[in-house]
Amino acid sequence: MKLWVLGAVFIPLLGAAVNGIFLWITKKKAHLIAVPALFASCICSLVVLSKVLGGAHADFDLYLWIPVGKFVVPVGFLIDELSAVMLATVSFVAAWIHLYSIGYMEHETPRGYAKYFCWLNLFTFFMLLLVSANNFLLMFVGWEGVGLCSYLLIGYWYEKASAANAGMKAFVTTRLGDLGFMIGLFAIYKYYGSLMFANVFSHASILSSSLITVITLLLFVGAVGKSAQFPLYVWLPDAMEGPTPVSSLIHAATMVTAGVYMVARCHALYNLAPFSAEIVASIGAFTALFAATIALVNNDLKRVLAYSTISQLGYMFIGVGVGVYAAGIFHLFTHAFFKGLMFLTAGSVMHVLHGELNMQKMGGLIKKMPITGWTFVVGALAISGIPPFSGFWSKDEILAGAFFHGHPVVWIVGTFTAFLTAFYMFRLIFLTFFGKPRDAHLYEMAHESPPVMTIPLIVLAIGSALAGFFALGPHGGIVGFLNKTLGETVAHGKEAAGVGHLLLIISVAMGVLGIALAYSMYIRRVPDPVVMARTLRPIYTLLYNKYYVDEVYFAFIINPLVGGSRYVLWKFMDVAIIDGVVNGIGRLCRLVGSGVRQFQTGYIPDYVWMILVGAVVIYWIGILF
Amino acid sequence: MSVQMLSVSIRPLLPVIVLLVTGMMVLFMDAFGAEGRESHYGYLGLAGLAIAGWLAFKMWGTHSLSFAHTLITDKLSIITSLIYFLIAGLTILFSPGYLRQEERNLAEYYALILFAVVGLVFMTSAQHLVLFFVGLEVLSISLYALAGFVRQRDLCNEAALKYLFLGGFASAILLMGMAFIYSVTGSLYFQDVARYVIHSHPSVALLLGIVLVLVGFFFKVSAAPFHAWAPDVYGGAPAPVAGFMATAAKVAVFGVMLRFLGMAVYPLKVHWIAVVTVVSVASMVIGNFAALRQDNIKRLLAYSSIAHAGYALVGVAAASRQGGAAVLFYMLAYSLMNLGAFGVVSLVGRKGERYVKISDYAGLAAKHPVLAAAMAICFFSLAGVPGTAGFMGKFYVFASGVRAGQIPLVVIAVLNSAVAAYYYLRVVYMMYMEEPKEEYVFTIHPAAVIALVIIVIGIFQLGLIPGGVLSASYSSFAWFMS
Amino acid sequence: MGIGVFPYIVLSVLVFLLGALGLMIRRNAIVMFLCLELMLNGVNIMFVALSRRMCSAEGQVIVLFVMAVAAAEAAIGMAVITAFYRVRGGVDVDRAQLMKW
Repeated sequence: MKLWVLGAVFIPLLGAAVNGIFLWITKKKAHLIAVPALFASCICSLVVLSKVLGGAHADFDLYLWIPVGKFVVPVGFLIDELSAVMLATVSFVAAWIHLYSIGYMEHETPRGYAKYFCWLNLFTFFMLLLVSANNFLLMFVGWEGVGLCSYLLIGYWYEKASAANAGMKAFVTTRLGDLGFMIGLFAIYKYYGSLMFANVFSHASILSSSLITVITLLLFVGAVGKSAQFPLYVWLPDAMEGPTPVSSLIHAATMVTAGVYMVARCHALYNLAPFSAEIVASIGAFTALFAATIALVNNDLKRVLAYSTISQLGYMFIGVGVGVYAAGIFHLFTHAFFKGLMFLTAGSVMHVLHGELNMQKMGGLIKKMPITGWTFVVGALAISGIPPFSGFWSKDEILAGAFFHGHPVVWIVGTFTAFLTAFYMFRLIFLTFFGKPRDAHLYEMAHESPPVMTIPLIVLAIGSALAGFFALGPHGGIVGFLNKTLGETVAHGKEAAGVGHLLLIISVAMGVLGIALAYSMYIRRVPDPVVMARTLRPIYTLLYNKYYVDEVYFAFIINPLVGGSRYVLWKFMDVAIIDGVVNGIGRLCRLVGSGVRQFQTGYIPDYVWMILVGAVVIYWIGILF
Repeated sequence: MSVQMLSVSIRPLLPVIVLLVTGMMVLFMDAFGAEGRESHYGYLGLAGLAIAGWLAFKMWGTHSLSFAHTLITDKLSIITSLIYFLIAGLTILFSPGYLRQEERNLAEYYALILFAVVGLVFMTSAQHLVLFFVGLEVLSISLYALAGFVRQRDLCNEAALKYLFLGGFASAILLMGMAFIYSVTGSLYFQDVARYVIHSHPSVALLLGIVLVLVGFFFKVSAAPFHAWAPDVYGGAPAPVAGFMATAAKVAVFGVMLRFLGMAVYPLKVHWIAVVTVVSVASMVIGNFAALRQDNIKRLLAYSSIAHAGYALVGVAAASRQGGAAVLFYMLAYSLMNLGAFGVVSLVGRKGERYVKISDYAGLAAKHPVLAAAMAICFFSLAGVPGTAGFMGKFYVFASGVRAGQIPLVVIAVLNSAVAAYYYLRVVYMMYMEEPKEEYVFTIHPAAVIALVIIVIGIFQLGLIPGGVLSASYSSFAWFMS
Repeated sequence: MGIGVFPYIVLSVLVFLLGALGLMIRRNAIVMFLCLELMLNGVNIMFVALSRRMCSAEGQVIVLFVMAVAAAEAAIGMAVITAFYRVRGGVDVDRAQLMKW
């Protein structure tokens, strides 16, 4: 068991190290190391999962990382149902994405190619570390690690200013969330005296519920950043600037799911903090709806998918927020398949169309690229919640959970979002793959991608179609399996089956309705979307501009910060120097007056004044206490 | 006093004596030796440091007080000595190439570094404030000379002049503080001060003395508002020297500060914690916000070192054994990454340090991938990315702060470290994401490569398997009151 | 015994502050350096006076150390100022303002 876990986690690191150190040797052969490394890790993870299925658990330390006094943190791993499922999902999806990358990245420079695979391996490693760690600090290492790798990978095409900026934006935005997470960590250490999951969760209830609420909210701030929830979701759509397999990896398996995993992992705390759980569910529901409405009108293939990820992550947070943790993780699991799939198909389209992403210019592509097209349809059916595709099972599980745990509003929002989801997904399909080609030149260019790209598509499509059936296994299927670890707060198996079925029918009906509306609007042109956009101009503009959130952030947060430091600190000081009245008292006043501003005049007597004044001030402080 | 006793008491000084003899040898061999082999004296200095390090290492675990109880040899003094030797060794490795390029390839450079290390060792071995003062001055006088070493360069001798006046002023203040403490307690032995402080009520004069001594400390670690010299001096001094000044002196002064606060005046902690807290916040805020707008990389590193002094002061404000250990660990981590950064700056700067703008690093990664990678690792570590020494250090310091109940201070520190990530990443961004504007023609001395390799290994070692160093530094603070 | 120790302390602090004031308002590097020495000597007065008052030799030993240090500092200080003079053609600290902000 121990060896298998270590293999699953560390083989990708090994791959990254080999490719990183021997960059100039591996060059275009980098995939020969990176891809097998991931498949090996995947096999190890599946072995671990099978052992856990057999009832085995593990919680072991590799070595003591910080062994000082009472502060002991090991590099250790915790393998239970939750982490086993996560390990398997992450490594499985990532492995196929690695394989696909060989085809997608074939035109890169040798050094760039090796660098890409190195970072991709490293990215997966950090995610695997995150989900298998047995303490908060090691988890945080993975947490920050995926942030760092996403920065590198999103900015992979750094010649493009937009890509480089997107990488920066992703890093800084998620860093903002990490602050909350870090403070939460300190609070846990302070009040529980330990950072080990085992110690913290088994003594979860020793704290007052208000303190737990604070801690869980702080942790959730981290999750909001990492999992792109409102209001820190802004980095995710921009992250599309990276190579598409990277987007796929970020959206499907690594990084964004970290927040959901973390909340599920800390379920013992969230159970004791109903207010925090309420916040989690509300933010999730709001984000789900919010992002789905933006996706309705966007014309960029990848951005629609990005907003749909944000929306689906919202569902997962609804799940973990209302207390059906297993359902949230189950949705994460199915989502990994269909979202990974859809991004890879989008990449396939983009690859053959030389980077074209505007779906208004596409149409009818299914004839030219049948595998890509039909696998995408499978993914879309899954996300729309059409039975028997996988999304149906997990989404239904979450919505039913929300309804039966007394969150009818959340249920309504979720169900309505399901309708929107089906609509925008099929809008995308009809615009891209069906109908008449709108740009003959592009259409001529199109052809099916090479097998190295289509095989992962087919594998993931099978996964998207069938993964839902895990719900039907014995003892409650995957949900029951996960619940061995997550243990739901209230069992909802016994509710009136009639109500359950009614909910199910409503949500399926919503999906079908969405598809039907998309069909009539974009194939039949009744009502004509162009006319609709014109009549509903204000709403359309608002949605098209993504509620102007980026603009608001710029106007109220970023510009004042940058401007403040430029105009107040710099110009002000400039002016202050040019004035240069050589007068000791005057200088003193100016120094004191500008407070803690920068008074680096370059003039020795000024510095002497500063030291003296500083001494007086701190003496005064010393006396005061 | 028998010969036996003398031989016992001279033993703790062996490493220092080795360094002094080596320094003298360098000077004499230069005076009487052949021309053109100046950089060999650097390797002689390295050998001296290695021997001294070995001697110091062998003393690990021993405890002695010698020279009328003014000089202590304990784990703290030994571990800090080893850190100085490491820092000095790395500085020397960066120097031959640099000095040759500046046409100031003189042997006294190495002798001055060795003498500075002697001063450093005395500082952290002191049990008496005067011994500390003498050590500090030995260090400072060597540094005045080193800061202005490339004397034909404008910035360089401006840096020396500023450092001289402000350093002298700070020393005078420190001395005044000592005089006030002496006036109240009648002694400058740490133990005597401690004995006095425990048994009596704090007087205004005593507090004044303590605060003035602290001002001297804060000046040397470039904590705000006593930081103003740092950007100018680091900005002007030769880059390897700036690296040395920014690291070695801070390690030593933090060591002494912890001894002084944790041993001599611990019972007054209500007062000094307040002072340290305020200075810590000021340093973090001023350092980080001023660094945001810098376009000169040396000044950026200087402001960042002000901020780092602020982070380390969080550990001092914890006023605990764990805090002390955290500060020591942090200073080691900080030293490695700062030396690495200044080392790369010394290489990229080229003759006369003309290329020290951040924009001069554009596209460095494409032309010199290894150099850029080393720089990036140092900067990630400065930013506190997990897996690197900087993260471990910061985490440990903040954890000790939390444990001591300094939660608001830690929150401010964490917020600040988020701000800091921006300007560190800006440099990494420049190196990796921008197009190269020039060819980057410069020679890299092999010794500098060795130093960078050591630094990178050190950064990862401290970040991934810090256990040994952490427990060693924890055991160095066994004497900490609390 | 004559007067007590207190007047000496006042004198010492005054000399010290005078030195500090000189550092703040004078421009000439040589004069500023003299002011620095003045500050150190101010402290010396205090140590000597206290040492005599407390009948302990410690203060006087300290004074010897301080004087030695001050001498060393003067040597290096003059060297730095000379180097500065050669490059800048003057010893006014107004000239040392290449680096700021």
